[in-house]
Amino acid sequence: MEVQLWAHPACDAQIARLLAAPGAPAKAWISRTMAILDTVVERLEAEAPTDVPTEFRPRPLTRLDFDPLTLPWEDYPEGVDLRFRAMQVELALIQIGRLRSAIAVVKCPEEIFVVWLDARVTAPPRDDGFVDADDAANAQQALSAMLNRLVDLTWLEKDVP
Amino acid sequence: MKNREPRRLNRIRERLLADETTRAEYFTQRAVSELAAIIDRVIQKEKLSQTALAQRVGMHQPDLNALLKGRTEHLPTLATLRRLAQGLGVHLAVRIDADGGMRIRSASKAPQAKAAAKATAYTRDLASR
Repeated sequence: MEVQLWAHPACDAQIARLLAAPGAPAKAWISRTMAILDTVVERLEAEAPTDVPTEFRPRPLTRLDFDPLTLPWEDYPEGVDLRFRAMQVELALIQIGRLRSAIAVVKCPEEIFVVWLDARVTAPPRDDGFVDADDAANAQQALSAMLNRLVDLTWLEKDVP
Repeated sequence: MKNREPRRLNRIRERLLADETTRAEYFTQRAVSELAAIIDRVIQKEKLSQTALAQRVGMHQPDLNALLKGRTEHLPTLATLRRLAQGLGVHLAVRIDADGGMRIRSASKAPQAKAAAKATAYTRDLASR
């Protein structure tokens, strides 16, 4: 199984900003998140488990499953391709230290795309990974909003430095 | 999808691994995640409870739970890794490279442990004759 690990350009810019911040306190959290993504990719290449987000450690704060046919993919050849070729789209929210990441996993018959969609620093989390009760209540909505980044495939054409 | 974007993530990885501190964070997290996946596989396969496994390997259940859920940032000690390998019945290979890279691998069976058990049984048999 071929597994491709991508960063959405918006996420790439977020990470670049965090790394450029004085002292870069988020550096360790970014590094650990990167390690988790690399581990997940390696595991998927070897075994392709059916339930991908459970592969994430720590377990996702929340996750969402979508039927690829129902998603508003951008009308790009890649979007049309994914609409019919993808079998499953899963979004997961993971928290490493104070770095919260949204990850998409797009499963196709011959390949899997793991896309780092969003990375932002939160307030110090509680033991359950959420910052507070409001944060926990809004997590699914926050994750759902990240779907727009995934389905907008116009970024494939942009040459972001 | 076009195979163009991975370069971007590779650049981030290269930048992180060029820094000694974040490199250490990266490889520790990888090893912790790899170990947790190994333990989880055995738990699923043998339908073990975390409590039963914790008792078997002499760990506190909350520590085992933290490891499995990825809440811990540190690798267990060598003594704990040894007990885990014995308790899980897996061959654990911890590889630490000269450049600081670190990985944990497993084999589903522990051939060396089996060989050691065979040797012990053989020695006992000889002694009882």
